Amino acid sequence: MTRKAPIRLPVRLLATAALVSLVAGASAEGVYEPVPLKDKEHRLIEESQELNGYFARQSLLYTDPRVVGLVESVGRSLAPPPTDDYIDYRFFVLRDPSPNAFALPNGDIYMHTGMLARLTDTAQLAAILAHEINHVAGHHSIVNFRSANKKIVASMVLTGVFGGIGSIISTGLSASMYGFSRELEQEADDHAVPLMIASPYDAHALPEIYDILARDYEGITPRIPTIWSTHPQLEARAARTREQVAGAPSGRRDTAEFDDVVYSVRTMTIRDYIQDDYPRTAVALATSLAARYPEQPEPLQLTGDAWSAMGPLTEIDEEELSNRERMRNANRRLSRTRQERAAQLLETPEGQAALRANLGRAREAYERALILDANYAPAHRGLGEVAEKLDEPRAAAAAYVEYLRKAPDAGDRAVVVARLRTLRDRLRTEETSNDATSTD
Amino acid sequence: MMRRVLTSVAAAVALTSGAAANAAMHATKEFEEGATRPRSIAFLPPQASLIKKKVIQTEQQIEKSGELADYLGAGVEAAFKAQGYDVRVLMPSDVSADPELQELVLDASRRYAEMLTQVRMRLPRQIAKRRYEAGDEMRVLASKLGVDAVGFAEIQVFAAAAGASAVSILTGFGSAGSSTLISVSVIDGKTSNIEAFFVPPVMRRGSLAGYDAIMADPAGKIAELTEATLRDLPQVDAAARSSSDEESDEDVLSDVEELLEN
Repeated sequence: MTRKAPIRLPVRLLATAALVSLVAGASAEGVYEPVPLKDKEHRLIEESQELNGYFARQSLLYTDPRVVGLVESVGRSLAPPPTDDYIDYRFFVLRDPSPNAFALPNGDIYMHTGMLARLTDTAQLAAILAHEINHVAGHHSIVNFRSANKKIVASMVLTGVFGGIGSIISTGLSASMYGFSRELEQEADDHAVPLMIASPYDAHALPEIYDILARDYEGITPRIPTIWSTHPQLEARAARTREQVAGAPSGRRDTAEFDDVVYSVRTMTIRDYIQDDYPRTAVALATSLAARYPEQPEPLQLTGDAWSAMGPLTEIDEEELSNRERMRNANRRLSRTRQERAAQLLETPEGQAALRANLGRAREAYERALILDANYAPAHRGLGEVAEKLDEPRAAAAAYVEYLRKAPDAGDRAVVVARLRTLRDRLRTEETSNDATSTD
Repeated sequence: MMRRVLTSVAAAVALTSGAAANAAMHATKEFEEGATRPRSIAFLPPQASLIKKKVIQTEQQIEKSGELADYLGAGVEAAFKAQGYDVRVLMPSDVSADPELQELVLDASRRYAEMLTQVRMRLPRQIAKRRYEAGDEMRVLASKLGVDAVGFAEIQVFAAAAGASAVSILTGFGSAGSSTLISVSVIDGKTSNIEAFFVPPVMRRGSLAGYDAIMADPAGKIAELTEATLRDLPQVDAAARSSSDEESDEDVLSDVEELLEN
């Protein structure tokens, strides 16, 4: 009797390695002339259209008319006439805190809210849109689709790896969202240079966007790596484009107008980072916002929220972190819950000291917000949380009551009332205990 | 012959014990006993992914996925109603019509996605240990919706062409054949924990319905799958769940103010 030998691991590895090496050798260039679609490529266009409907149904399209209007007007001023009837340049803002932007083959270009929140002016917005427009103009999705070797590996590797939006897109469009080949990305960078120089916007914004996006506040590899968030390519791309635009004249920045329009996107993104447990990023963005608006309480309150969310986390020096440490940090996020990570840090003297320091900074920010506006309710809520975390029940209860008196219709009223119930029980116990002591 | 009988008995025992060990419901003790079992639950719009894996590409059927999500929502609603729960399934249009709700749903969905990744990595058995806590986002959402719990339902249907299956086996990437994954979660509006997590038992997972079977009768097949997934859902237990509704928010605030004055 003979037994069939199972497929051994080395065979699998060899097969994979062979496919990967084929891909590494593949290169492609964009085509900036009309590209008639072949049979299966029509499906890419259909999927691009369906994706827009999907985003709308999932409430993922950010619809603030001022924000969308700004992105649209800048994008339209840069977009060339479409070369094919299946291309129609349309610009959307996607409700996602990760710093990304992507272009689909039908001309739909999406800017994440998390990307907008990090930019400082309209020229930087134009720089990103110029890059994305060239992915469409160069038919990069179609070129990529025709590179069959790449598709084989991508279909195997990508399926099941990405969560969120990534899990609902097909191989044909995944490169559009998570980055094309290095050649096509570089080509989009290079074509963005003359587009920016010919536009009224400052072409020197091009290298700036890579500098901004190279920041890794959390000291982790990106949750979902994209071409807009992957080290070390960003540093190299910044250096290359800096050389390319060195002689370009200065152009429009429209910093004040941009700040005004994207204010709500910035505050929302900071809240998103706090909720998604990226507190260092939230601290960086909130501190920057508070410096921009020193007379407004909301940025200070968000700064307080961000410091409070830091919990026992220490500050880090991005430059000193090795790739291995970044990977380890990223893996910890996956394998341990937020509560477990915090509990582990609190077992160390460094974690305990960091908690006290972070809560001290949070309290200071809230108090500064209340100096600007004593009736600013969210700052009272923040003070309540800080006091609760520092085990100061009287101060916590007083701050929460103040919050609910000032914001009786707050959306989180039920949550705060539940906390007050617990604090009330504690205060009653303390009162009883004090009465007993004084009677003795 | 005797050996064949013994082998069959051993296999049957293994199957039975396997099915028991891989129950369809993973829940906290309090949920099982009723204390955190909701009387009312609102499901966020169910999610469905329908993915055709071919040799050189995957093809996402986005429009068709929406239809499957509707069937999943109907199946979940029927299963909870049958057990006496006050259940409603939100439609995407319900969410997009209310900007405040839209924000809360997006926040809660991202938080749930983070937890679900960990649930899948660390085995759902850890749900009993209250390992997965969704924070204030879920409490605020439950309060806004006026329900005891928030529910999530998801289905993923993978269809693989024969060629893709062969490549998957050769390289070890991806699933080889047609498969279906389904999960339903109940998150309490007070504890904010995943109190119960339902998946089809391991022995039946993926074998209940493949791509072709689902596409031949999506409504019937998804109803069948949902029923199998929620087979262990206990009946509503209104008496077991404690309620603090008698005390108004204002009573609590006044009490605390009085205590602070002393």
